[in-house]
Amino acid sequence: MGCSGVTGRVPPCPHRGKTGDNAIRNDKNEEKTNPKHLIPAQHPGRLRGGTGLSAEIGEYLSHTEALAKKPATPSEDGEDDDIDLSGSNCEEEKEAVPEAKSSTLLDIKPWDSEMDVAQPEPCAHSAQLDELVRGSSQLVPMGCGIQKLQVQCVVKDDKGGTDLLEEDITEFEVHVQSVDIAAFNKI
Amino acid sequence: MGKEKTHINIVVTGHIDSGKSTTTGHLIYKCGGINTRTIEKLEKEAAEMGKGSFKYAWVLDKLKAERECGITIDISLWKFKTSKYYVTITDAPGHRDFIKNMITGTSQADCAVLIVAAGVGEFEAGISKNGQTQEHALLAYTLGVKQLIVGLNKMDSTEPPYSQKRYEEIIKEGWKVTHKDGNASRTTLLEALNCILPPTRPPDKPLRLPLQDVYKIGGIGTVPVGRVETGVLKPGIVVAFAPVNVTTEVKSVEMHHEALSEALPGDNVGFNVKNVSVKDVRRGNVAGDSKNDQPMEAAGFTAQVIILSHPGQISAGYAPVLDCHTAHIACKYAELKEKIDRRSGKKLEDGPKFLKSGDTAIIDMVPGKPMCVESFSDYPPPSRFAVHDMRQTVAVGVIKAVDKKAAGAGKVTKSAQKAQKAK
Repeated sequence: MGCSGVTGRVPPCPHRGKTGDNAIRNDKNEEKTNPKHLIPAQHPGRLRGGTGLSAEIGEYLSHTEALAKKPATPSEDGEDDDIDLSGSNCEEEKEAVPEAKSSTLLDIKPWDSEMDVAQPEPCAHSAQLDELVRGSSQLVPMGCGIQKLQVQCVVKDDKGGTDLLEEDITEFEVHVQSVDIAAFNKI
Repeated sequence: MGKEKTHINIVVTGHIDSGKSTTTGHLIYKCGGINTRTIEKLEKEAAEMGKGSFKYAWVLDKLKAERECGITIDISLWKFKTSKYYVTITDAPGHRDFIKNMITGTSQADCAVLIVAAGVGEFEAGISKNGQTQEHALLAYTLGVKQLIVGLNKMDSTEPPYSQKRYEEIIKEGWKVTHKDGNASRTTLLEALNCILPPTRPPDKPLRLPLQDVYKIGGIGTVPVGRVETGVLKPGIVVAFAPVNVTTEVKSVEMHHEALSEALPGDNVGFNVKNVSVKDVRRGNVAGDSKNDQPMEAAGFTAQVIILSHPGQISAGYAPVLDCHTAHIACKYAELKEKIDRRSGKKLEDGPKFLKSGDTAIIDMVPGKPMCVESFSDYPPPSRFAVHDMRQTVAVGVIKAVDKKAAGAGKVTKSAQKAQKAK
């Protein structure tokens, strides 16, 4: 259900490539240890230095759009998802109609102060999980001229994980250094 | 925000029908967690629609709907005030990634609030063996949340309503509470919150600061950012980064645009280091004072691990990814030493062949890549971890002991050498 499988990733590491641990990184067990260095093979365009960011994002968007079409109806009512719930634990049975959702606030951080901080925005836009609601966003100064982007997201509890979301966003590693969860609440 | 009130973090858990979300909503609503303009607007709307006595429920529903759309950011950071504290409250979601976030996230809870419903049958169902209530409380306790408030909710649904007898009954029901400190028996939730002991983030311990990010800033240089977990960070001290083994001098410390003369535990700071490139240090590294128990790479460590949900059996050789402070590294379960009873901590079995969901065990682990971790007794915050596999949190753990690797000759920057000579 994710946008990209973990397998088949190649470490391009444009920022911190020369650390000499590429050999370790290729080790299968280590694949997930540092997702920001990994890019799904489905986006070969990202490996070509000359490709502009907008093109990359466009490519990524079309990829996620294709994925978004797979679930039958991403309706907000959650009625289509009753089947999913039947198998889940007893706590949720009683609440089968309004599906459990959580609100998360993501901190998306750039690499340096000179970076165009507006840039991570389209990345967050495009990182679409199944039935994810992307709320508003704001830029928050962190000191030393660095600004982080805060994005509000609403996720369904038994749909994609937040780590998947983090991974998707950190794939835009040209602009994104890391993603942290600033708040995580039940709705 | 001035410094007049201490900031505490609480997490609310409870059975699905305990009314924990309503209680959380009420606290925020009544204690100034939502801006007055929003409240006034909603209350006016409620009055116009003739909601009268159902006003609260209606306003809470409205706010819930608003959160669902994710429109306003400030209502997702739930804060309110009591007469004593600034409180950030988290209504624990059922989301499987929440536990991981509770362990590695920005705000470790100082206290858990467990809401139980008092209604006949409801309470019993909530705390029954397969009820998750006790599970949550135990999990929070194992991970270092040592304070718990039990909130008795829905007292109006007892027979008769607000029955003192029922209250006594529930109090007796196996809640063997030992008050170590901060006695807050039989009081209102709000008063109980005031009785929480504020977090003791010890400034007298040696410095530990796990890095969240490392920035390159024009005109300034390299600025690592992270939260001081223990100890004090000051300009002029020589810090060592583990496990990369880089030593340098701290030029300046900044928090919220202001230069600080010292940063204390709990402060989220950026600090400028000289002669260190952004390639030398990274997220997951830990900074410490080079002269006072400097952080070191762990060759291996022993941890108490609770298997939460794993479809199969876990045996030695299993190598999932651990999230410990800001590090994210695969570690191998080298030896399953003993299976223990999660409540009493008593040994159940020596050298178990395998573990399954619900088991607790003492395990020797070996990191797949250089990693810096600490034991719970020395430095609690960087000793907790979540185990990640198959896109979910499969286990949680606490590190009991660390086998530190003897540090070789690392990179010592010129400014660090100068600073060391000067002293």
